[in-house]
Amino acid sequence: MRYFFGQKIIQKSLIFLGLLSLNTVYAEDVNSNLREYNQKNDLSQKTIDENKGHLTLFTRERLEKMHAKTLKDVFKTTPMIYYHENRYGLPDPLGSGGFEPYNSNFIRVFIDGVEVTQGWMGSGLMLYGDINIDFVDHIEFYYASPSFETSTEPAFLTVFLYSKTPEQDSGGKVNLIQGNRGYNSQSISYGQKKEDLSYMVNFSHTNAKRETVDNGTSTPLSRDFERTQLFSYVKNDDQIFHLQVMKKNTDGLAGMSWDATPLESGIDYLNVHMDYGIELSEHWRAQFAYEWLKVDIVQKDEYPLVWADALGSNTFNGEYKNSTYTAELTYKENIGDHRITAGLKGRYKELDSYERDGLDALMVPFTSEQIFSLFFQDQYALTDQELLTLGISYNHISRNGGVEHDDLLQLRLGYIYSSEHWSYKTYLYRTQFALEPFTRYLALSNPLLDPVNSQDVSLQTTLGFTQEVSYVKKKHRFDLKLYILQDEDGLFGNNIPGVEGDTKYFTTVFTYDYDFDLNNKMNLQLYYAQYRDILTEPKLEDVSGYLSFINTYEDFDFYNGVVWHRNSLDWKNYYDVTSSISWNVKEDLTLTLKGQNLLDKAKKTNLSRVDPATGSLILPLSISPIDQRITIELEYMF
Amino acid sequence: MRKIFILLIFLYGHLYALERESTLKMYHGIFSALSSKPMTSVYTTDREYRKVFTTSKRIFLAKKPEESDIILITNRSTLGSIIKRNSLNKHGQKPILFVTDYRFLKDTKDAVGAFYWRKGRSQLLFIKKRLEQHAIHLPKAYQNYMIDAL
Repeated sequence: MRYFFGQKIIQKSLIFLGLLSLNTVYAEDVNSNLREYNQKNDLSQKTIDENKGHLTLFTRERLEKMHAKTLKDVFKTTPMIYYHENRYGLPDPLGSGGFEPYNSNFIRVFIDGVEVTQGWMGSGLMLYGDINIDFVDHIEFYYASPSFETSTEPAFLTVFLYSKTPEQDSGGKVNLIQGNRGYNSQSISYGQKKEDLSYMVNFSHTNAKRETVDNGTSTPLSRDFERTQLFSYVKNDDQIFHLQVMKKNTDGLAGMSWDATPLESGIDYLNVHMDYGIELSEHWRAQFAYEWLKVDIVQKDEYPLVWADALGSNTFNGEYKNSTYTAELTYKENIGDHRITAGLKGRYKELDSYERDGLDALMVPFTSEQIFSLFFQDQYALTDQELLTLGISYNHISRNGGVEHDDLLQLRLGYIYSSEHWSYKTYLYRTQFALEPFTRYLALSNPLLDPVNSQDVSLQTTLGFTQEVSYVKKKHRFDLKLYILQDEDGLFGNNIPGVEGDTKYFTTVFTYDYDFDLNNKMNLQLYYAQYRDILTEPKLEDVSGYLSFINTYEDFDFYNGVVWHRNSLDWKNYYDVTSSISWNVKEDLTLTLKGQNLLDKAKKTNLSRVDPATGSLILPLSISPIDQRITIELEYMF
Repeated sequence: MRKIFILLIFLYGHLYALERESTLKMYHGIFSALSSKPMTSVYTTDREYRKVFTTSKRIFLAKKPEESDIILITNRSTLGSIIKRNSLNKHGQKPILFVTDYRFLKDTKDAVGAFYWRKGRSQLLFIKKRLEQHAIHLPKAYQNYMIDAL
């Protein structure tokens, strides 16, 4: 064979170029395969249920890069329902700053699909709203009425926390945090997968030294707390058992003092949660949960206290104990193009005891509430890309002590379309809410608080129409959500002149995520809401935004995020800037420097005050739930 | 019956399940980088991985570790027993060990690499010195994921 001049060189060059381009293609292949593997094997992909509603998702990777250590770190970035704390320093996003004991009972918290509730005392959010999330893999926020499959009681925001699995997080991890003002936190986790069994244990302790609040006296208000928390589970292919224990001793901020000048204010909690779930067969699943809560309240003021059980005294030393039992049986089956889910749920909440100064002080006969719930849901696949969903749930609530019974009917109709790039989701629903037992109990226990009307309180009926459209392509993800809601017979009083109509909500959330590459990502969220006849306002406009950048350069990770808030009450701008830099010293050792609320301009809300001597309103205190804090963190995996 | 396209898995016991297609893509790449054979014989005791590899046309499952080209180790008890077998088998051809946990890479110098999760992201890592002991030369595409030693 004869070669023309230079043919060999050209051939070799072509082969070299071919190999080079092949290698580039392979390198890109490895990267894209890794990206695909990450995305498809992320645990959130196993738990996201499109039918649960409109989702805001925090993946494990995002939580890690944000250095989110508590649920509060995540909650403060979400739209629509913002993180707030009430006059006791407890997480209460729907709190008005007034004197109500707790307003956020219709925000429910679930861990691994099981609700954590304080039963008689209200939503689990009160204690779990700022928990240490070292045991958590990812978090889902579902807005509007959730799927009846998961909820026992109605909700308009449901927060699902899913724990880490030993398959992805085997071994141990120690996390030590030291912050300014003496803030410190320690956490240790261990998980392992055996042949047919896996388990995970997380133990954490937080000594939260927080910013004090000036109340015009020589003793500023304190909201420090010390929390010890255990989370654990053991599971096999078809059974799971959880045990959670939390002890939280808090300084109670303004507490029960009308003018926020308590002489003493403290609340101690001890909470135990256990649940057991079993797959009985391909179609049947049973679940049982038990919750116990002990609350010790110590309050002292110069004037009579706000608390109904204080009965006009200026000191209160009370202890409440309550238990909650929940049982569920669900059935799922695919029949033709229908996916049928049906179930029975029962919950029993009981106030076990109430003691004041060590003596039995339980005077009100209303001490228990039983909820029986029956639901049916059909998800019908219209085509390969369209799903029609219909849900109906009936709840019967019975109470002792001569208090009214309630019947709640929930309806939910939805349509979901999904294609490679586009998805659309819309729901029409009717949800009913009943007054929570503790609020009712407090009203019944004090003759000054209208005990007769508290026996029979109208149900709140919320009607909603929601839509969501998303577009995903390669590195871009756009999402737009629109909600139109109306509360009839609202449980949160807005019956002052000029604001007595049904509360109406129009809200919209726009998000845009852009991945520069595997290591560099941006997230933008914009929110606008207009409310009519809400609390004391005939019209309220609310705007917020969140912009974050996640970057990695060699052994360093960077997070920079800003949360922005403003509303028509004063159109004042609030900025919460959070930044962190992590040095991955070794594969198993990371050091992090983090600053939150760096500008000390995070959103503040008003805490109402009344002069107990005259009964007139005095200047409210303006308080931010987000402390300005710098922390150094060490994380070691073993 | 139409395929219901919405994923509705909500079985806690099965929360962790490997996604077949992306897992196979990754391991086809890794195994062909480690072994030049068109068909790779793999030994693993992990039920999840066995289930995924059964569907592959490029991987066949070995019944015994000695009969395999590559052993994929996913738990500590298997790691212990494989190391024990390897130490007894001083003269025979030793299969390549690949692990799914970074700690196993530290615990045994026999493992040439790992594909594991760290803080919500999968990580791929090969150890150059250990690859050299098996006379393995990684394709260029994988050399970014190689370090000299731990």
